[in-house]
Amino acid sequence: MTGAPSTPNNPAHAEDRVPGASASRPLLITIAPWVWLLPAVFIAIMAWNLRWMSDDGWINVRVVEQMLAGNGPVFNTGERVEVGTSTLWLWLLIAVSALIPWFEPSQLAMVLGTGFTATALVFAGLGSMQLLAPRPSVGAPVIWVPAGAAALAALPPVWDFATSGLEMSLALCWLAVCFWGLARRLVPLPATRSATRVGVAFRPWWLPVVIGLGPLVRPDFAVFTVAFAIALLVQSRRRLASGVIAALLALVIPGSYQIFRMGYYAALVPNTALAKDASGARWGEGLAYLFDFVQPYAVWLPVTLVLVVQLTLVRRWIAAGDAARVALTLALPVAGVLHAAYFVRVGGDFMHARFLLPATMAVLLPVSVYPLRRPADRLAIVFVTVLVLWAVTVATGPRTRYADIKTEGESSGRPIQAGLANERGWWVSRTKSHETVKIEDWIWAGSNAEESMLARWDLERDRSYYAEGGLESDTRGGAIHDHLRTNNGIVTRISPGVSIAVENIGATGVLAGNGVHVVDMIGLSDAVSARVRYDPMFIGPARNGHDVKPVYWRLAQYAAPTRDESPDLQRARAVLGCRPVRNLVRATTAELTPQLFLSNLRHSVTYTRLTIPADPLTAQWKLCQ
Amino acid sequence: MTAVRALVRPPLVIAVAVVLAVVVLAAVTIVRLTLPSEVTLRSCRFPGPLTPTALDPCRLVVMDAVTARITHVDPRTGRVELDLAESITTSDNQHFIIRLAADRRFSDESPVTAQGVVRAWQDLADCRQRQPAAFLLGTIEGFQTTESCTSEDPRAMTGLTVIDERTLAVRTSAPDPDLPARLAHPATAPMPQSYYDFRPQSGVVPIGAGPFQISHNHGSEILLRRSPSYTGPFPAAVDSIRLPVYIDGGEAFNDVSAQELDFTDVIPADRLIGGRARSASDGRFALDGGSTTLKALRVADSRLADPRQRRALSMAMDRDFLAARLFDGTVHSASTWSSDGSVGACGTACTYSPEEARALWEQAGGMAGSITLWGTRADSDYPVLDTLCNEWKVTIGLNCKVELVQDTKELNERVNGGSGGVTLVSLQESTMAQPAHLTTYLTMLDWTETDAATAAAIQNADHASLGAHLAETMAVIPLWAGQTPHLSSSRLRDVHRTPMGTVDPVELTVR
Repeated sequence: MTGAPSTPNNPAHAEDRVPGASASRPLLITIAPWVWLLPAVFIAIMAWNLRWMSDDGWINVRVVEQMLAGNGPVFNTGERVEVGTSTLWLWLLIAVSALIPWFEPSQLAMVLGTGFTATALVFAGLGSMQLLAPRPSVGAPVIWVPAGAAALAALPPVWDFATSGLEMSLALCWLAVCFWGLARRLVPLPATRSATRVGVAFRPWWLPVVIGLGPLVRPDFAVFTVAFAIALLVQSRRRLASGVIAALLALVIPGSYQIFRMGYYAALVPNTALAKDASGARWGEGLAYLFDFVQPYAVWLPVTLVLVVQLTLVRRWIAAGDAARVALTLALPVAGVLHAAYFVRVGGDFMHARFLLPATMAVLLPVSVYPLRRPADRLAIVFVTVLVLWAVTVATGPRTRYADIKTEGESSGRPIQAGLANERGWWVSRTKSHETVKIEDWIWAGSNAEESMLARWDLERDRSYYAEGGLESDTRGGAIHDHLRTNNGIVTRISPGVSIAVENIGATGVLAGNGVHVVDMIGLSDAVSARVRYDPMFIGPARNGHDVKPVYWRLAQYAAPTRDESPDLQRARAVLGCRPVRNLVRATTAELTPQLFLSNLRHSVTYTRLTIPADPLTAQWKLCQ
Repeated sequence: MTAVRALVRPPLVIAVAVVLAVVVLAAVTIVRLTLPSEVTLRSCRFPGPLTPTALDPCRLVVMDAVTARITHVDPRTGRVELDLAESITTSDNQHFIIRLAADRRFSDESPVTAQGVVRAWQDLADCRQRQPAAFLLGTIEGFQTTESCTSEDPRAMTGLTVIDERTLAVRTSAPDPDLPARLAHPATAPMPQSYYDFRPQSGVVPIGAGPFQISHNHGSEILLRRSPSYTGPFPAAVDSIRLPVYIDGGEAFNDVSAQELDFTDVIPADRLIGGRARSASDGRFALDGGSTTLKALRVADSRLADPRQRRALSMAMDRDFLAARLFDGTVHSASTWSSDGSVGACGTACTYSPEEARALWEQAGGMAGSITLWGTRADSDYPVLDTLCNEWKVTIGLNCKVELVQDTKELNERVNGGSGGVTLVSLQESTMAQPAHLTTYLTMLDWTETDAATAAAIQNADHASLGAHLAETMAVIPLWAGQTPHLSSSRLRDVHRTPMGTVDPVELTVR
């Protein structure tokens, strides 16, 4: 199946053509078979028109540049830390940037993002057609109209995160391709009880491979991988060998990469998961995040409608004994709800709606398009009409705006809703040209971008220092901050070179160039700070995922010792010398030899489980016994 | 239904579309041909009223368009041509007879007369007003310098005689072959009697005899329209010039890049980095050969009174490196106090030497607290100041911060009001106004530094004395000098700069 015209139930099909249709048939009838593609066209237009790079997107670009410069898939030269959450997106960017070097990686990310998002809606439609398609002999001609796909395409956050330099487009495309791959194995309706199981689980071979890529799309996409795998097994003949081969196919790429990750980065998960405390529970913030998405667009309306329709279909298919369809139809919303629940538990995100988009798509996918038959099915018309009306209302309605993104609720120690951001709006307003796609747009764009150029130029002139940023905003540094303030935040570096510690490392990192060591105050870029745990006594309130780690952990690593250092800094330096932390530092910074790779592989569980209390005294007590 | 189906048959649809396209194209062409041509140029908040004597670029471009002068300088060739004058005759370059052209009128229809010209020149030369542009008439007999000025009894220039309604005689104190060229400057423009009668009002909507007249001046925008009464030899090629005021020079750059503004002569440094402005502008970025800009730091902080401190600040800045990185090579390191090198010699004090800077700084006892580097949003100074601040932080450990105010007027108010700190100043110098550039040192130095001798040196364009004073005190630290860059839209056919360094309004044409 390559497109709508070849769909068995398509009006373009010979037996379904309108009597008397000819080369001069009316335009409306000519375009009707293509109506289902409108959301894909629409999202492509919106994504391209609103194309932008987020600061986090530039983190990927810096890794691409380090890789292309021969420094390996790292953020800072000499520190093997995995700063990208989406392995597949990052390596895709690396590959495309290597193949097409005359464009900036960020420009290529725009093309990939727009393409993946539009492709996602095409595959979503094709998958729905397979899921809901009757046999050619059943019923009257069908026109496929956008339903769930229209709802998804109408959501402004989808327009934003179609690009942004982050992996959301790939994530949506992966969901749709998996769905289509599974749907195309289904027998056309009405399926008989005996005919719902088709072939072995590893046919076609690429399907389990693609399904297995979920954790590389994002680690949390493992939940979708499991759901798709269950659907695959349910729709396949029950043979042990079939399941084992499919599992092996699914695991070959993520398994290989996991071995690489454990040996190279000495961790089981990306550093982002450790730094942002992906296992912590922040239900209050998470619910605020959920409502911040559901309420402005009334997302509950399409979701409820779609779920009702799906339940109706599921009941019908259960009655018909079509377990394959039931499994696929249920797998998506169930996995989607679990995925959304996970992000609500960890407190959501600071970017409006971003992490709830996969779940939304998962719920909408089974009915991305919907068949309108003749004679007209009134309920179907009502369903489609309401969805399309909602979509038009949302797409033409006002965008979510935030007056600022500063943290509120400091007394409770927790950020509240104001910590969320219309991230695209924020960065577009920060850059002076109001463009964000090329790195030159970010020169002196604020939020640390100025330090990056200065650091780059200083390194060119062989100047050497460690510069601590954010002294004005962080009021908890005490004596160390006083010392830093009197020195403009600039102290001697532990070794020659230039290090800058900033809160937004993306564009800063790219502008500064590969040679400048860029330290993330949140802990994304180094293995030690990432493992410093949240402690309200030592870490100030911040937006979700933006807990600034105490300054002494950075100084201990990168600043040369001085006389009269504060006790906290002295203790932090001592902790770095204690075996668990010393081993971790060695595992990620020593020259990588086969022996070290194997050692990292063996100890990666230990390194991943290692946590460092924010208080150096407690850390000393815990880690230096 | 059949009719509807017939309507949407492809051949018919194509035919209708073609006809519609032709109609729309024709309509657009007709509208474009009949629409008045308009050019938009970046403007800024004026530091004072709109008077012919203004020398800042934003006011100068308006007065250049609104007034007519005795002569005009062809921006392409530099040749001096007659404008208000029908003839200028002299046998010794000291005695000039200027005959005004007949039928030249101000836009209020009053005639341009020899009496009016003399009145304007006497007004400009009135020493009590301390007009920086007064130097233009400095060779005319009886010209009184500022330092010899007595407010009670200012002398009129004796070298000016009205012969008749259209003729005047000018006598200079020494042969001055360049006088006709200087009479092309807007500061020498005659103004109608109403200008002097209603000066406050005239400072908002001045009337001149130039090719344009002011249609409105809202404060946020000035609109110049072609003057219907203009009969001179340099008529405007466009119908109107719109001059929107930009608070942030970077926004003007954005608007020219987006073709929403036709011209800006403020190119923020961050747009020059890595050749951005050049590469992104498709050849619309250019350096102006007619004027140069000297960037310097004016030190006005009592905690930096020791010249050793200022010398250390100067030596801590790597001018050559930053000229290449920050300004894309459009400037070069300045080692004197004027862009042509005629004022003073900074010598080693303007050479990057971090070790010596550190030693000198420590010898002078450093400085307690934090210093503020001041600049303006209008000139998009932030990247330059941020970079200089970094140079001082890293090299001599000076604690500094950057503050931006709206424009030069506010900057001067702050610094003269005792805010202290160090101020970034951009001195635009042109072939016609270089002595005026020197007089700006008067305003920069008068906080503590200027003694009578220095003031006299400035007034008399005594480069050597002024240079020696500046080299000794380092009250002004030269940074970079270079041709003034500008960016124009692709609508503009040609951009020519006047000898004053401003865009020539008469020569503006659109594609």
